[in-house]
Amino acid sequence: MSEFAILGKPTPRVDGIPKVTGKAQYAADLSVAGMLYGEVLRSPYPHARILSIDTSRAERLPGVRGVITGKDFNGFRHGFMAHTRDESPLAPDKVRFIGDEVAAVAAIDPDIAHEAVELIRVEYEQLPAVFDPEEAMQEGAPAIHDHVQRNISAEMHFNFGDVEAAFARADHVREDRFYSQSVLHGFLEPHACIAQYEEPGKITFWGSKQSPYFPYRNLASAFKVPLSNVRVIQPVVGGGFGGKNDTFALDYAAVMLSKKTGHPVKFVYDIEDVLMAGRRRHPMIIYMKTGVKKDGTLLATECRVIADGGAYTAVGPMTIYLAGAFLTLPYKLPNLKYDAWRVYTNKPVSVAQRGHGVPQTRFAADCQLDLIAKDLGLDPVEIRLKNAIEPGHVTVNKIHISSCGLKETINRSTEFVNWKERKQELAKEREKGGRYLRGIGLACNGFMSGARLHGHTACAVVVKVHEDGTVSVLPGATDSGQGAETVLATMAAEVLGITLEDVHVSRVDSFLTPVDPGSYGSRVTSTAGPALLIAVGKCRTQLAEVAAKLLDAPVAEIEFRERKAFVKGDPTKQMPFGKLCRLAYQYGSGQVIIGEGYFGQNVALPNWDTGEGDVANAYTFGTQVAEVEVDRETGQVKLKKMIVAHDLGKMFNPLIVEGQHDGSIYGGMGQALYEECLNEDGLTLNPSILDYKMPTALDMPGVMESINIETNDPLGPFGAKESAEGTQVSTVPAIVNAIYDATGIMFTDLPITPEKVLRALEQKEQGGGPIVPASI
Amino acid sequence: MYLPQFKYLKPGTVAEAVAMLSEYQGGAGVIAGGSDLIVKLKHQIVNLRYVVDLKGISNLYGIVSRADEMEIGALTKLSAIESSPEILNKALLLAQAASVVGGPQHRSMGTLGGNLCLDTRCYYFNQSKRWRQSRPPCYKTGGDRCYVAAKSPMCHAVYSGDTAPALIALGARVRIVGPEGEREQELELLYSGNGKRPINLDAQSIITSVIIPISPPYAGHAYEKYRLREAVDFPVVGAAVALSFEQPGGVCTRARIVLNAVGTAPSRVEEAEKSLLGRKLEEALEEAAELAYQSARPIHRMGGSPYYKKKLVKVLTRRALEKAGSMAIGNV
Ligand SMILES: Cc1cc2nc3c(=O)[nH]c(=O)nc-3n(C[C@H](O)[C@H](O)[C@H](O)COP(=O)(O)OP(=O)(O)OC[C@H]3O[C@@H](n4cnc5c(N)ncnc54)[C@H](O)[C@@H]3O)c2cc1C
Ligand code: SF4
Repeated sequence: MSEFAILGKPTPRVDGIPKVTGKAQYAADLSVAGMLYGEVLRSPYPHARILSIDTSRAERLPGVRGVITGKDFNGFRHGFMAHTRDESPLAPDKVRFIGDEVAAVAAIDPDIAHEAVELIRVEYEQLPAVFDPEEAMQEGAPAIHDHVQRNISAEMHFNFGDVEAAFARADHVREDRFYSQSVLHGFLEPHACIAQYEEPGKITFWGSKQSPYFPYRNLASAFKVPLSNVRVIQPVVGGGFGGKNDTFALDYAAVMLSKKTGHPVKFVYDIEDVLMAGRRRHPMIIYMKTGVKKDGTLLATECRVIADGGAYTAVGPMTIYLAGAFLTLPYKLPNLKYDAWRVYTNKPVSVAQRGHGVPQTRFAADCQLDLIAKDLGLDPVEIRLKNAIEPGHVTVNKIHISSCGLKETINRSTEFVNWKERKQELAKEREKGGRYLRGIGLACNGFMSGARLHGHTACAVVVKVHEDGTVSVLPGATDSGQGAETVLATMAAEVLGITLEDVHVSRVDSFLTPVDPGSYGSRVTSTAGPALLIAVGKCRTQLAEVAAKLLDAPVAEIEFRERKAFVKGDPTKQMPFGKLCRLAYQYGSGQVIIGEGYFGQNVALPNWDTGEGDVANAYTFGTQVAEVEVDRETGQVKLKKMIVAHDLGKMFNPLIVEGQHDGSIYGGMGQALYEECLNEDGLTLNPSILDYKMPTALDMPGVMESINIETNDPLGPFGAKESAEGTQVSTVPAIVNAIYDATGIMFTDLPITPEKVLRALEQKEQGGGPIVPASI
Repeated sequence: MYLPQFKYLKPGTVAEAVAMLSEYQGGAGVIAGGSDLIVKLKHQIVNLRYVVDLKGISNLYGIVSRADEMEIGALTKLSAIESSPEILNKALLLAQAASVVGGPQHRSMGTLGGNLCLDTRCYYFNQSKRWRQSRPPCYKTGGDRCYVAAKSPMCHAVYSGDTAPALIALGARVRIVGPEGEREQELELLYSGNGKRPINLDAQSIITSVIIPISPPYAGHAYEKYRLREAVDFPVVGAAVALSFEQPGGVCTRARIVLNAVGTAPSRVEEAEKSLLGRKLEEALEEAAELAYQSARPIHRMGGSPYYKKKLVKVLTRRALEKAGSMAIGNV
């Protein structure tokens, strides 16, 4: 029997039934008495100066209550860091991409708001625009932000060890170019919010946010009100994946229009807003040079990245930081040189997306590793085992690894598919000919468990035990759909020996819940988890003290399980948990059982200039093995199998972990084979989910296996680490490497469309190299 | 997305429907399942003051079988067609094509008539008004240019409804009712080949039913649709084939090959059809596929480059011919 009552068991999620029965209330489902409806006006041009805005016709339309433009915000700008505040709630003087918001209206119904927006007349002076980041970096390219040279929004330069000397010593050196495209986050709930501004300076804000304390801070500074006046209330969130961190035009506009009209104002974006103008993953051009010894030992990597940032900076510097810093995981790499430029272009803004910058460079590195293995006549598994990081490793950029189950993930996932036999079997099958080419490939990942990046990154939790034995958990953290509510409830129930039904986890309400960084950087289980254990531990201590007195036993002998308090070794001495709580509330003049805790990463800030240092308390590792089927005649690739083996420290709930793994397969498969924001002169050609090819349920592989490796991390709650973003880091390279095995062609340009595959197969037959032009 | 206002009309008979369409001429249009029309109204690529809903007209539903043909009401749902034993038995090709339209939701709303009357599609056309405002209008939206083929004097938007090629391959006819009364015509003639105005049907007329001749013995057919995703997507290319043979394994006596999504209309490849006649399938198959390849003139930016779409034409035609051939043998 397991030592745990709930932990590790396949318990259905606490939010599952309300969601599947349609009862869960998302932001768009909410309404507030007297509410108005908002709509934004977007720029039709990729780059233009705003000469004038005439809102008079819109204002005169019956039913319109307010119209605002960028000027209403008095020069307020937002951004992640002081020197990167380059974005305004509504563009005041210049638009920088098609879809940039320039004005907003509030009206008594959504149709009137829509008509009013069409009545706003904006006079633009169109400016030359630039869409290709390598062109944008050239001298003389159009300046997207007036005082920024060569459109560089951020750059990073790391240099560890001596790459030149290592290349000189290497038996084999390879240089390749990779391209990772622009993809969307893929949340199904578009942005929505309601804001209410009440004099003097009180803001209540309901919004679909994965990190609700971002708007809490941003709205306070935009409207110059104390933080205690900003009440951010979080509804159920329909997915975020990094795309619902920032505060957007609709959020600021809702508050401003509420301030102007005296009414609450609601905004709901539709999927076209998201697909045409919303944030997305950074496209990256990656030049990768790697040197190895004959036996496959990695000696050095020199990596150059040009990241297409779109019109504003947002969280971009962090993206290119992580894309470089994580090149030293999950394989031992003694020398690294990294140069990255994040470049402005006249396109929608690139931000964090599941894996935050790391999937792009890991795609390049892990695919190049297969090319190297081929060059050296090594098996892809062998070369990975040879270089795999082990517990206690310190990377060349001073990332300290404690627990690490990488080798087990490689071994277990490849054993699951009988790697050697399967690879030979498929090779034989290919020789026989036939319609399909099938192949198998793998890739590994390393990721941070609870990001420690910048500013406030600690998590806090308050736990209240009610007198009937039920429990309220008030975390600062947000469940954006990943299952955090269930995980936090599980931990609380486990410690107090009660059931999941006894625990209620509240959603964020900044009046009541403690401040929190947000649900990014795979932090909820890993960072809010320990905070919860501290808080619930305080409650347990108080209850144990009362129980000790009532049961006449030492405090240390009190145990909680099966909704009861026990005295260790004496089954006659016990008491129902509910009764204990009631008695505790009556004990003496009455106790209030409440606990609070906060927990931060126990590491120094990484050095932003050099790229050195830890970015988390702990790191996760994993391996993915993919099997694909390539149709020789159409070039279509189908993912048939995906094995995900992940070192998550400790498994809390196999159903939730499996959901995370399936999600990572979905996201990575979409990026590898299906999705791309098609952009033509700044205009997104496919702003609908018909034309933007997110895979359907039917496209998912028939075999998806989750293998969980428990390494019991010393700092994790119950030994747990993240099981969130890390797995998506290796999905793309695993698929690309499987296609390499199937076709003998390494596709270095994402997505791998059927047309690219067919062209490359033909070129290969004719003896040419696989250089493939993109096409739509 | 914003749906502009319109007046909703619900006639009880075909005559009433035609009268309404005539009365509000120019401002009225019909809605069946609405799975296409509602999107177009939201995009404001059609603007209607009156929407005439056909769903209240009971005799537009259902399947009637006669000795040598079957008649299917225009309002029959695609989901009913794909699962009807009658159709599976006598016009399997239609059931196959219906079963690969969109996703299950589209098929349980979408009707056969609506599917046949689908407008042509293009990246630059099937977009919201807001999206289209970034650029001057193209031919199809009343402008003076084409974004797909800059030098072209006309619109190249692509026809990609799935059931039309199957029905044309089967030699189907449509019944049309308009102010002048009722007429019957070859389905093939419904498609004008004009990308801007692809359906030969005046705004006062409606399609009431589709008539399918029963295939002779030793017939086989197949619809091959290629799309990136297993559901939702329109075809990148489609190929419908209907063949009849003298006897099992004998020579081909009738052949129809209809390509989909390579041009402004579903198009028969007559040279390829002719090349099959009087020959055994296995001897003529490659040549027919090659002729289909040669005849196809797809345009770029319609789901793939012309190069790629032509390759697909060949592969899909060959696969459809092979399947049709083995079905004909299995039919004995
Ligand atoms: C995401 C998405 C994916 C899709 N995928 C596919 C696909 O893969 N393949 C495919 O073929 N279609 C696809 N469709 C289009 C559509 O769903 C189907 O074609 C459906 O069959 C249309 O039928 P309907 O009854 O809903 O048509 P409606 O939307 O009601 O009407 C469509 C058009 O036909 C006209 N019309 C309807 N009935 C008649 C009639 N009896 N007489 C005269 N005119 C009439 C209408 O005025 C309108 O112009 C897709 C649509 C969407 C939104
Ligand atoms: S083919 Fe040309 S004219 Fe026709 S819809 Fe497309 S862009 Fe417009």
